[in-house]
Amino acid sequence: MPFPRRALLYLARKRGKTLTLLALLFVVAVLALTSWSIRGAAQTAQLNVRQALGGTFTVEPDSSNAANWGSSSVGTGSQITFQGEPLTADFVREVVEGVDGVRGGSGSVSNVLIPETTDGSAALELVEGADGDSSLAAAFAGDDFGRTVQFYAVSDSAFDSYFANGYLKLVEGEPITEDSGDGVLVSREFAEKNGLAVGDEFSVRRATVHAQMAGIDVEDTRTRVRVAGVFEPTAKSQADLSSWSMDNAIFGTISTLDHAREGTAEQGYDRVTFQVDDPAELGRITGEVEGLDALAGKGYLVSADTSDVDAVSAPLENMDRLVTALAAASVAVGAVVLYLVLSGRVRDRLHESGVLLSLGLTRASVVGQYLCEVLLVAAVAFALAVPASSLAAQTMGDALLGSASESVQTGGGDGGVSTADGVSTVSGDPFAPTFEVDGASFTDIEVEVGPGSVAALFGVGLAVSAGAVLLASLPLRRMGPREILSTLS
Amino acid sequence: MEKNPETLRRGAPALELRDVTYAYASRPRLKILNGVSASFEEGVMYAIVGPSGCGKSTLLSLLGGLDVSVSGEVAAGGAPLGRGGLARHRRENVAFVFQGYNLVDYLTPAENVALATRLPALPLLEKVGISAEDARRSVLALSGGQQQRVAIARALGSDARALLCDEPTGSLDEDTAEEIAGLLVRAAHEEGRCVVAVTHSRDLTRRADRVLRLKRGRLVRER
Repeated sequence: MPFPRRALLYLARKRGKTLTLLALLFVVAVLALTSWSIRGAAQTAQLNVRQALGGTFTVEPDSSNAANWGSSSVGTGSQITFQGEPLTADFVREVVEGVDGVRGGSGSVSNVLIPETTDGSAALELVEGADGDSSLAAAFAGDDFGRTVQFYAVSDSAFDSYFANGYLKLVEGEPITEDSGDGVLVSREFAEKNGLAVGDEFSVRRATVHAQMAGIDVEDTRTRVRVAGVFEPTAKSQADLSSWSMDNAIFGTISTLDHAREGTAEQGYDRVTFQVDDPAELGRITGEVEGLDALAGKGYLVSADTSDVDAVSAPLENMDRLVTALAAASVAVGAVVLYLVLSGRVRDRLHESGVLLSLGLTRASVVGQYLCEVLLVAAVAFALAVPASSLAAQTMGDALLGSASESVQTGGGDGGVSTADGVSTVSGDPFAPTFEVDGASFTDIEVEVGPGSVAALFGVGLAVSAGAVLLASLPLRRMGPREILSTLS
Repeated sequence: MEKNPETLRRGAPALELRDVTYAYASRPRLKILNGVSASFEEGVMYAIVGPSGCGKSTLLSLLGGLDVSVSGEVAAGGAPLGRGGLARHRRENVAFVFQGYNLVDYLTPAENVALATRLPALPLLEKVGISAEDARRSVLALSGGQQQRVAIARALGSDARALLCDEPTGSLDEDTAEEIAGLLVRAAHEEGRCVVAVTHSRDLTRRADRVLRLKRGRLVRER
């Protein structure tokens, strides 16, 4: 009688022992698979957090050192300007090409401008802000300042904070680069309100009050722009003036802004934001950037705030460690328990082994039968464990990741993306719109028992089971004829 | 249960002990068997008798390839057994019948017989008095006598030329023991097997063709 048939007969007729082994293997498999899946989800959540919060650092003039700044008169007023070398697109290129791990960067300087038709005969219609105007708007009632929108001059919109961090999404056209000339990006809602499409033109100019302060004719600030692309906000934003919301924002080149506000290009960008591949590398990268000839000792401040990443990642890392330990412990305890149970079973069946050997069956045939029995039961137990683990992993994962998500919501810093009140300022501009962010979305992960986990369970599980049987069968394989006889007497 | 005429050679030596000496490793000076020589022929039933602890089962284990002697040799069909040939010897030349039956408890009688032979199990079981209905029940549902019959059927189903029986009737009542003894005699006389039974049973001894007594490490023929 071949050993697989003996194995099947044993499993069918020793139902109690079969079910006990099945239950044991099932529990171990569910524990291992569940913790493994939650671990995978926790790691995905960590990755999401790191990607969402971004590895970024900024370079900007050091405002804390008065020696870097000087005052100059403009028209009827005066302005304070940085006295050092301006931040330019060339500097951005030097950093991106010269420092390993920097994915890209974009200079940024903003001002408020008024969008009008090409000839300036009519103002373009603005998107109404949901939250109404603040006292700032009331102060300019009756003046065209109330029709200003934020104009962001960027050197590469793809790496600008708003786009790189996912608050804005380019849905049509091309991003703005330093070579875009008069190209601008507008929101889809703004474009639809004014019947604008990619390729269409309109104009922007300074507000009358600004032109008067600068002592220039407002028409001299007018510049024609061309719609190069359309974006959509991915989150709700709020600004001090409803017209400054991201729905009315215009992204263009520094040359366009320079035309409306002379001197902007000469002064360069207010700040440059760089995106890095991994926030964990920020320390090394900022160190290298600070050492560049273009920056060293020239009054610039390089800052990387990782407090948000750290605060948000900490609870997830803790959970990752916990679940990894749980997975390792369940596999280790499972393997030990399995060995103990199987060695007990082999010991209990020593007499049967002796009978089979006395009938002339080989040791390989006897051990093969035990191996076959355990592997068959293990395969069934593992198959049953897959749906059970999916359910358990989702339930436990929701609870654990929910808890971690609460820590994410309340543990964020105050200068970055995720704050206690769930508001993001995104850029350093104090008048820039703020976004409502959902910290939970970083950790809103579907905890799945993936095919990789299932394959690992079957691979490792069957190997551990087979190893335990072979180890437990050692006494049998070492048993001499005399010992066989003694088991029979 | 027709056997090949080749195997019905009464008088041909199935197993031989050639100047065999045996001692336990823990007590090497105490010789359980001391220069024993004997020939066990096909078609003959042997009873080996002697007091408990005299080495009867040891002798049986040497004949069955379950143990090895200190000196001398065991031969099967005229050829000495090497150490490497013991498993093959157990598989091809001998079959055991034990006092405790030693059936596999999760197999039916028919399946127990099928462990040792590819011959149909039911005719073998019928020959030893096990019905087709009983052949499909759990062996644990059978009486001691029935279980021993199954063990004998399993031994007879193999191609082994020698049946080595260790107290085959030791656990059975008198009537059943007599029936089992009859089966063993028939195995020797009708099938030409060499049957070697270690026993304390007077009835089994009485029905054996030859009786050998193990005394102080020596094997003495009584009949």
